[in-house]
Amino acid sequence: MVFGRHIQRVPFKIYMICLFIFLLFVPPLVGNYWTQVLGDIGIYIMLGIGLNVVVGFAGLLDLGYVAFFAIGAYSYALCASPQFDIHIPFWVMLPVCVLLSAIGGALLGLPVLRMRGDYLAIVTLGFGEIIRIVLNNLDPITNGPRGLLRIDPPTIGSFVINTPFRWYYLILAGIVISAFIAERLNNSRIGRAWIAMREDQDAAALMGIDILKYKLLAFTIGASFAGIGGAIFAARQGSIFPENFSLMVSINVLCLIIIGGMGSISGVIIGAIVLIGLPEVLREVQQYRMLAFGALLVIMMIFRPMGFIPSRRRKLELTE
Amino acid sequence: MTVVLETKGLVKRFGGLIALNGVNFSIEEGMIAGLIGPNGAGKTTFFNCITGVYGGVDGGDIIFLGRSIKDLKSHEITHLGISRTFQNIRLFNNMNSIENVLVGQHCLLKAGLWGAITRNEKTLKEEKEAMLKAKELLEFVGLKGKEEILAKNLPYGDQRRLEIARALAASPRLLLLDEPTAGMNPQESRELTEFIKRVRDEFNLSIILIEHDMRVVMEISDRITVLDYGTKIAEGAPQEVQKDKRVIEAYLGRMASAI
Repeated sequence: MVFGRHIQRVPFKIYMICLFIFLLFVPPLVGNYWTQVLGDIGIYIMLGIGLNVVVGFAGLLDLGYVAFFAIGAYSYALCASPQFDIHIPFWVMLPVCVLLSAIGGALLGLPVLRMRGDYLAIVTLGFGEIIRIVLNNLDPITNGPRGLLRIDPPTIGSFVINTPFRWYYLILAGIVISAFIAERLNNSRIGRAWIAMREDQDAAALMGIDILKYKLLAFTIGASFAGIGGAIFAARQGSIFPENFSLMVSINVLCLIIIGGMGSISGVIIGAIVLIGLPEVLREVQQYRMLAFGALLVIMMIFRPMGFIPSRRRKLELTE
Repeated sequence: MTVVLETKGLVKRFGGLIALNGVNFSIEEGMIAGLIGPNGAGKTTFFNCITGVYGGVDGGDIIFLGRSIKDLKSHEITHLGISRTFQNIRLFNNMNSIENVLVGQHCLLKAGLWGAITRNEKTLKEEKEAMLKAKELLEFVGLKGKEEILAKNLPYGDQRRLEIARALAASPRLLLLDEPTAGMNPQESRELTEFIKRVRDEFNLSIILIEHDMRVVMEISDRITVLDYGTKIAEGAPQEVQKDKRVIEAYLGRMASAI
């Protein structure tokens, strides 16, 4: 947790580097279709890492996370599609999308973060739905349910990122950066303040932690990760519709955090692979797919209630 | 001697209940002030008012080092230099001892977002010093070797000590201890009494102590304030308070004082 753990850290680092090198060589091995699936999983991992900051670290149950994903996606799509015939490059828009999502997070956070637990969950749930409904009805700007089409793909010089292989590497880079930032935050003064707040909000305030500020910070940072995810999603799909941003996305992201192990980043990755990848694997059993998937989830929650890779702290909470 | 904390006519109401009714109180630098009174007298409410738990009082003023703090938020008051412990221990249970103390140092550390992400020279140095200080504090309270144990797995007495270490981590000028010996046997209470004196001397701070164990209060307090039904009924040196008629009445009833 603190910097004193270098001795344990080193092998973990090497392990991560090996994993990373392995991941670089995956796409040619698995082919186009599975690379595409891995891309989907990757976007969910990014969302998971972001929501994990809010739910896992700071302990704020946010059920409207999809709203920030939508803000990121629509911000990019509106500024890089024939809708208004504006074509701002992806790399310029990416920070803008992050910023807009972060602002969205702060704007929602300011009024609602005084609430605790269930109340916060309900309000954020409502917010997620409001954003989707607005996108659906703000016809002159968002083109309503017909969505935004022919969104520009990102380019690096004359190199266009438009195949699953190319997307895979862009998303992988995004994940590595997000995971790095989240992990650093978790092991800092800020991370400690979040965990203290999750443990006992009143005691944390009396230790000098500005509760509102740290909640807002968690919310804003979580939202910015969703903003990156949203921009990448929009550019990758090429077209987006309000229905892409339904409540199910929020629920899925929350589920993958819980399945993977709350508060742990490797848990988020495993969770996304299981939750998003498994339904693809289970295509073999066709109509029983969702049934098998449901059963797997139930079994898993019985045998590993703290998730596949719980964070060290959560593990201690549950076993002692 | 400078006055560290002073309350003037402090009033706190909960609906129709007057929990504190015009309490005047003051404590000077380096003093240990005992705060006693029967259950429900308003002692903890008094602490909560000082530390901004209620987000405001209903009357009067609280002056800390020459500055009114009655409208400040809890975390701002901690930043100014008031730390406290709780009657029913409130540690961060799933953090280990050292992390608890590190959280206590929150307001002394500066690292923001940028420092946390880049983990630059300044942040690393700050963290290293914070760790060192945390270890020293744990050693001071007698928790050496228990740095990695989760707070909730510590024995009761150690939890009390850890809470004090956490409060001291913020380098306070004034420490509020809410029944530190509650649930301890006489032997442990005696040790803690000595320990509190040591805290005062080594950290050069003032302490307000809520305590039910009369032996402890009488031994270590320089002055004692007695509350009953939210009103201050007596104040003075331990010997004076012990003989005060109204104090005996409050504790034992009118008949007892007549005997």
